[in-house]
Parts: sequence; structure tokens; C-alpha cells
Amino acid sequence: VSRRSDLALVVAVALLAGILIEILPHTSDFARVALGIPLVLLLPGYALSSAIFSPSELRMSEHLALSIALSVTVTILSALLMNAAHIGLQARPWAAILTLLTIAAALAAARRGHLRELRVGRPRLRSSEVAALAVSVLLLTGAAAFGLTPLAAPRGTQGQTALWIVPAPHRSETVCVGVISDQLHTSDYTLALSVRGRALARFGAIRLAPGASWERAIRVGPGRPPVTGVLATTARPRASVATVSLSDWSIPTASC
Amino acid sequence: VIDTLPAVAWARSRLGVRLSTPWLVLCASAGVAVASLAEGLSRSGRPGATPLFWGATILILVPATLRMAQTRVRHGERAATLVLVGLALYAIKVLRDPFSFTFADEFPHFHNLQAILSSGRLFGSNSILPITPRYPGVESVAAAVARLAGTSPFVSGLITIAAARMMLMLALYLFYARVSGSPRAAGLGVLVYTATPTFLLWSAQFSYESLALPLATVGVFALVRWQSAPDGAARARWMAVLVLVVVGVVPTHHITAYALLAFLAGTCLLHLLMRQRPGAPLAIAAVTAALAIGWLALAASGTIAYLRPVVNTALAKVLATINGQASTRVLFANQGGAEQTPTAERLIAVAGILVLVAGVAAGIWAVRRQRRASPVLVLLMLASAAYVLTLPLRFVPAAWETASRAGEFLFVGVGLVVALGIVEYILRPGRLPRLRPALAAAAVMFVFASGVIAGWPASLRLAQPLRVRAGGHTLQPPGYVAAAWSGATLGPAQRVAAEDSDARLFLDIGHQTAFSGVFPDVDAVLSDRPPLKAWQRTLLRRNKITLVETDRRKVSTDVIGGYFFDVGSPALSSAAAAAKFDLPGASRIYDSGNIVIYWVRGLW
Repeated sequence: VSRRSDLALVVAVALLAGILIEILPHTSDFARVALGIPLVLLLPGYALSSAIFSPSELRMSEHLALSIALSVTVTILSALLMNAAHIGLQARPWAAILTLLTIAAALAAARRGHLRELRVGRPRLRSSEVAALAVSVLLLTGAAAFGLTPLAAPRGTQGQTALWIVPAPHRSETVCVGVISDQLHTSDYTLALSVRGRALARFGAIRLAPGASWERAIRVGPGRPPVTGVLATTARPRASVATVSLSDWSIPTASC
Repeated sequence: VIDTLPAVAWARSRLGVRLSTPWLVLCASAGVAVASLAEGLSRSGRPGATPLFWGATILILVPATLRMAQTRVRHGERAATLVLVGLALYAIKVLRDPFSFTFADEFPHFHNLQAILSSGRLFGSNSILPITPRYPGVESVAAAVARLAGTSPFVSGLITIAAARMMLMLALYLFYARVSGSPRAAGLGVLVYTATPTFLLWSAQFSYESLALPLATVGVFALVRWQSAPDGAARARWMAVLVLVVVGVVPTHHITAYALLAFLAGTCLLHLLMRQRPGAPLAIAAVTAALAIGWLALAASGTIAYLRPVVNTALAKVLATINGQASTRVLFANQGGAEQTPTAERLIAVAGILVLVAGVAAGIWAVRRQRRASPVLVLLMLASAAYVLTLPLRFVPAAWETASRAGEFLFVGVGLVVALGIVEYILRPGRLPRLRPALAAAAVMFVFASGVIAGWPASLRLAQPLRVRAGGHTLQPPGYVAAAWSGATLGPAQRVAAEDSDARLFLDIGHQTAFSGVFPDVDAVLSDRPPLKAWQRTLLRRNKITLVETDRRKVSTDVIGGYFFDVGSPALSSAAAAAKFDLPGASRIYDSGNIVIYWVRGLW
């Protein structure tokens, strides 16, 4: 493969991506993103279409369309084959398959003389056009930054507060009870727990900021009795916000 | 001529602006920035979002249309401009939902992706759309991106669909240019294609069709290259590409594979009817049929059972509507049937459809006049006529979705045919030369706006409050909180019955097996008046449902709009229906007001 050809670049990028993923299969950094995405969505198809067609047969736009389509197909096929061969769809085997396929196709293309010379041409842009592109970058960066920023809720947005109860895992006669505030402002609550209608415990005031939660494990006594919890705000203690009841102690709690 | 348009001439003389690629990039970037602002205003409940949204689409589409209308534009520049438009329009969808997927079909596909990444295996299970794991194409590609680039599953999904969008715009342009012989008509045709009602949002979702359709478009481009190949060796090469593409389409999406097969079969038939047998892709059609049937038999045998009720119901409802036995659908309404689209938008939508129909007629007339139709072009004309004929189906409730889905494929014909009409009747040399390109741009923008209005409920077109900031924290809507709580506290092994939108959250956020809808009839179990009937207990037992989530908010039954914060008091359904699970044997383990989760193992 000529050192200044498109296929040399394809092989180099595929090798770099393959080596990087082999060394750092579980990390996410800029180099991994910059090399990993082309290894899935561009390079195998580019090399494959170069092996099939001579440069004179394809315009660059056609080559690009085929590159993406064939890369996607190769990726789907590799997933099906790995699954059929009971190889887990993990980073290392996948990277190895796509890298080897890309290099093999690039070598086949080079053997057939299907190379495009890499030319680093000077872009003939006016200064105003360079400025237009620079402003474009700024606009897109600003659009992305603003788009990804959570904003204040619209006026009238309904917050909510959740009360929950489950048996404590691996501990008999203990319940976990919790409150999750999804309100837009800090609120104060009272929580009353009862067993068979008799008061067991009372908590309050529980002050919760937006997004905050509160949780307790409470021993309720022998016999795994039915437990009821009533949540109210301190401002309106007689109006319940939420009510929970636990009568089936077979609930398989994972954590609390 | 375009350079003499007053606005373009002013920009050129005063600012040194030409309709060159850097300026088109600037216009599209400005469009994306304005769209970001519009989405931000919308999700924070401020006014002015809708005009900004339309301004953004004008900034993206109109300069590109003016450029495409010019004659002396290089092939590569046309292709680059169309890719730019495709990605800029995709950015609008991404900016609408920048934090997570919120479209009804995105939840099951995202679940499949997460399952592949956690298990390392394909063909898992999916309780919401059981057929989707049997077509793992889009999830495989996204999983490969996640594994090899180290990006999150959500970002990997976005990257996959962005690549699909690039592929669609490029392949459609190349296909149109080959079929029409006119790069100008091809460029305009792709811009007309963006007026497909589903293009801006629905087809940009993380879903199997969003990848399969672009792949199939590369397939039809390869077909026309195969047909025009100069020798046997070149034909063999293009056939190899076409077969490879079909191999990618078949395990990605059922309907697209069948649509591609129908296109190939239609091309064969027209070649035979037009006595041009040498170009008939008989072998390719046979290979496609064999692959599609093979996949159906070996990997996705449930496809027919999945598609049959949809088609049968649509046909039955069409007949019932024609016979006057069923009511017609309310146009421009959300899922609940309430009309929400402003009158002005409805007028634009209807007028845009009329413009589109006129464009189809003009395009067909132009091709007939020139007597240069190839079998593929005739097929595209037939597809465009079929699209017009499917428009009345939008009045039929059960057939609306089928017509809308068919529209995506049929619009491939509409795009080129309307563009040929524009080139022949609007852009041809004649009187008022300055007005003609502007008229073409206005027509494209008009049909695009019409498609957008018809394609999505107006109230949900722009971003809704999904993540909001309060007191230095970021909050999520109640459905997300309930689903996340179930996953964290009860683990991922629960089987949940919930309303349509909540079930999708339990699937993705809670990692539970979630049921909704009518198979099994969870809808009836949740909405029925008390007491809980014996058959409902049997349904819970047979499906081993351990959790029932009741959500009194009527919006929770809406798979498009049920995922967001309620702004204002939500409309509520009957309290009695929700409270019928307050029974001995059931535990009310989570209560957030409108949403209650019951542990119902004791009711089996």
C-alpha cells in the first residue's frame, strides 16, 4: 500500500483503533471516540468498496454512501456471527474482527491497484467564508451547550412526593420506609406509621430539598404484621399526601 | 438568476456573501442554534418557541433549496449540501430530546440495546414489542459503537441514526440523479423528500426502520448502477454490493425488507411490461425474497403474527368507514382525539397537501411529455400516485398508522416526481426569472411545513419538560421516579402491568418486564371499574405479574406525550378504577399521588 494513499490512511486508523481498544477496552476518551466510530461506521465499508470498485468507477459521494452502508452491513453480520459462535459481543473480539476485515479488504484493494492518492490541497476560501465557518462552529457549540442544560420548570409544573414501604432485605420484622421529594421547592413532611391500626412511629418534620430523599429501617414487632404509613405536609397535617400499606412480606427487596 | 434575487444580491454586495458551501453551513448552523433556543423556550414554558422553530427550518431549508435550484453546481457540493440539511434537521430532533429517548418505539429498541450490552448476546426478550429483538440490526450497530468508541448507549444510538441520516441523504440524491439524469432535480427531490410527514421526528428516532430505510435506499441506488453498468464484470460488482446491502436490511427491519422486495419485483414487472427484459433484476429479487423468507422462518417467525392484526384491523376499519359503520378520525389531533393544532397550521397543512398533489401531477405530466421514463422512473411515478391515493386513509382511525408508515416508502417516488415538476414548470426559463427560484424554495418550504404539521401533534412538536432544575438539583418526571425506584429497590426481575407510557419507563429505566396495551389486556385490568374480576386475577397469575402500577393521569395512556412533567393540573381518570387494587392480599408499596404501585402476588 502506497504510503500516501487513502488505503494507507484507512489501514493506519483501523490499526490504531484496534490497538487502542485492545489496550483500553473499558475506557472512554476522545481518542477512543475519534477512532472507534470510524472503525464501526466507515472504515470497513470504505476498504470493502475500494476492493470492489476502482476509483474511476465511483465518485467520492458514491464511495462515502457505500462506505457507510457496507460498514453497517459488516457490523450487523459480525454481530450475528459472533452471537452464533457464542462469542460475547464485547469490545476486543469485535474490534479485532472489524480491524482485520478492514486491513484485509484494503490489501485486496491495493493489490488491484484501487488506490486514491491523498492530496492535501489548500482550501480556496475567502476570509469572509473562513469567518462564516468559524461563526458556524461557535453557533453549533452554543446550541449544544444550551440544549444540554436543564432549565427551570415551566410555571405551573406539578411536583410530587413519593412515599414507599418494603420489607427490609434479609431481616425479618423490619420494614424500610422512604420519602422521595420531586417537588420544585423545599418541603416539610410528617410520616406516621401504624401496625394493625395502632401507632408505631412518627417522624417529622422531615425537611426535603428538591430531589432529596429520606429513608429509615424500622422494626415493627413479631409476626410480620400489616404496616401502614401516611405522609402529610407539616402545613396541612390532616391531609395525607400519600398512603402505603404492607401486608405481603414476601416482596423480594433488592436493597434499601 | 438566483444571484440577482434582491436578498441574495444585497447580501453579496454588502456582506460579500455568496451561496457557497461555507455560507450554507452558516445558515444551517444558525438554524440549529435557533432550534436550540426554540426547544429551550418550549421546555421551560416560555412563549415564542413555535415561530423560532419555523424560523430554524427556514434557515436550514431555504438557502439549500436556492442552491439546489441553480444549474452550475458541482455534484460533490450538491451531495455535501444535502448531507448538511439532513444532519441539521436531525439536530432538531436531538435538541428536542437531548437527555434520553422519549419516542414510543425508542424505549423498546433502547431496552434491546441495553440487553445486548449487558448480556453480550442478541435475540433477548422484549415485553413491549416482542418482535424487535428478532431484528437486531440497529441495536447491533449501536452496540458496536458503544463497545468500540466507549460512548454511552444513548449517545451510541444518536451516532448510529446520524450515520443513517447521512446515508439516506446521499443515497437518495445519487439514486434520483441516476434515475432522472438531472442532478438539479435530484437535489430538489431530496429536499422535497424531507417533507415526508414522518421525516423530521418519527423517522429520526432510534428504531429499526430509521436504519433500514437508508440502507434500502443505498440498495436501490446500487440497483440503478447495476442496470447501467457497462459490462458484465461491473454488473457483478454492483450486484455484490446490492446483495450485501440486502443482507444488512433483512435482519434490521421486516417492513423495509418487504418494501425493498416489492420495489425489486415491481421493477422486474415493469421491465417485462415495457419489453426491456435485460434490465430486470430477477436474480436480485429472488435473492432478496430468499433472504427475507429465510430470516422469517429461522429467526423471526413471530413477524406474521405481529403484522397480521395491524393489517387486518386497518382493512376492516377502512371497509367499515366506507360503509359508514365507523366514525372517521379527527385530523390534526393528538392520541386522545382532542384537536390541538392551531387553525393557521391546519390551513398550511391542507394547502401544502394540495401543492404536493399538484406537484405530483406536474411531475408525472413532465415525464410523460418528455417520453423518457425508464421502468424505475415509472415505478416512482406509480409510488407517488399511490401516496396521493393513501391520503384519504388518514381519516380512518385504525388505517392512519398504516397509511403513514406506507407513506415513508411511497414518498421516495413523490420526492423525485415533484422535483421534476418543479424543474419543468417553475424553474424553466421564462418570464419573471427572479421569482422562479424563490417560488421553488417557497414550494419546498410549504410542503415541508405541511408534512411537519401533519406528522406530529402540534403540542408535542417541541421539547417538553423532562429534566428540570430546582434548588440546585435536576428533577425527573413522576413516571421516571417510580420506574427508577422499582429497579433500585425491587431489582430488575419484576413483571409489571402499567399504562402505555409508564410501561415503557419500567422497561428502560426500571429494567423490568413490563406489560401494557391489550396483549395481554392490561388496559382493561387497569381501567375497569371495581371490583377486581376473576378473569383479571387470572390474567395477573398467567402472566406472573407481580407489580401493578396505576396512574390516574390520562396522559399516561399517550405513548407520545406521557413521559413529561405535568404543567398545570393533569386530567385524571376514575379514582375508583385505580383504587380497586386496595385489597387484602395486595400491598400498596409506593404512592406519589397519581401514581401508585401495588405488589399483587397475593391476588393471583
